[in-house]
Amino acid sequence: MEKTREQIFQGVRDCLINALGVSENQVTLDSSLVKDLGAESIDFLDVVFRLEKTFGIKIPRGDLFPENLLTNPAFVKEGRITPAGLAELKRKLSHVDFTTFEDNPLVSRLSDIFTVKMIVDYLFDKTSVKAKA
Amino acid sequence: MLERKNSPKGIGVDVVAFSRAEDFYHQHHDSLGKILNPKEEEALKKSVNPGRLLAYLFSAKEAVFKSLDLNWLGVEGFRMIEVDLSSEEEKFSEARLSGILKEKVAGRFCEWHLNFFEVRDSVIAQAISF
Repeated sequence: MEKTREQIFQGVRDCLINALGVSENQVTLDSSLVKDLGAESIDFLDVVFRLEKTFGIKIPRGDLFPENLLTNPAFVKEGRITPAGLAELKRKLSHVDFTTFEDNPLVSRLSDIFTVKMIVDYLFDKTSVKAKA
Repeated sequence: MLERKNSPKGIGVDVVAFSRAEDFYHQHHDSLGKILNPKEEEALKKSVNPGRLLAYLFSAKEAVFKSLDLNWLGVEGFRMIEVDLSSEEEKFSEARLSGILKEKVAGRFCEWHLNFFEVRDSVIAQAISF
């Protein structure tokens, strides 16, 4: 059965609370996993595993987090994502809102795009496709 | 620029708290085959303290990955970094790459050396790529 965005958000929130040890009111749609919720390397894996179990899906490599970007000189120059890099990011992460990031596309700010909303939108699309299949 | 033979080309460091790794192990011990190769899984099964060994393995894989200056390759990418470590008592180790990851770095890197330090309740892995 298809889940609503609210149901998905609740599932994601529970995963983040358990993985990151944060409280319920710390997790909002705008929360950044790194900046606001303090996620570190092992936490990203924990979150992915929990999301897969909770929503009964596989999250393929490169789906949630971009790859092949920082090593391509056409996409990154002097610590900034180039227009070509931004186009590539938008193509690969169609569920992400890059409006704020585009204003100042520093590589160091890339982790800011990993928000709770990003995960909810990704899962909504993924579970909708699965339900329709 | 003249490149010296055997000069280090990359360095990566990662810290993992033992308690964090132990929680991860208890929560996901049935899914560890996604990030560990069979030899690493076997070492974990034989370990008297699998949570601690997992902290070593995980920090080592992250450190190697950071030394390569690549973007996050996801769960499968972790599996392609093979750490030669049978016990958390060892303080030095080496790593090998496999699969797509090995292809990505071919011609740039060929050896990875690992050192481990314990500070308070965490392990710090340092990887140097050659």
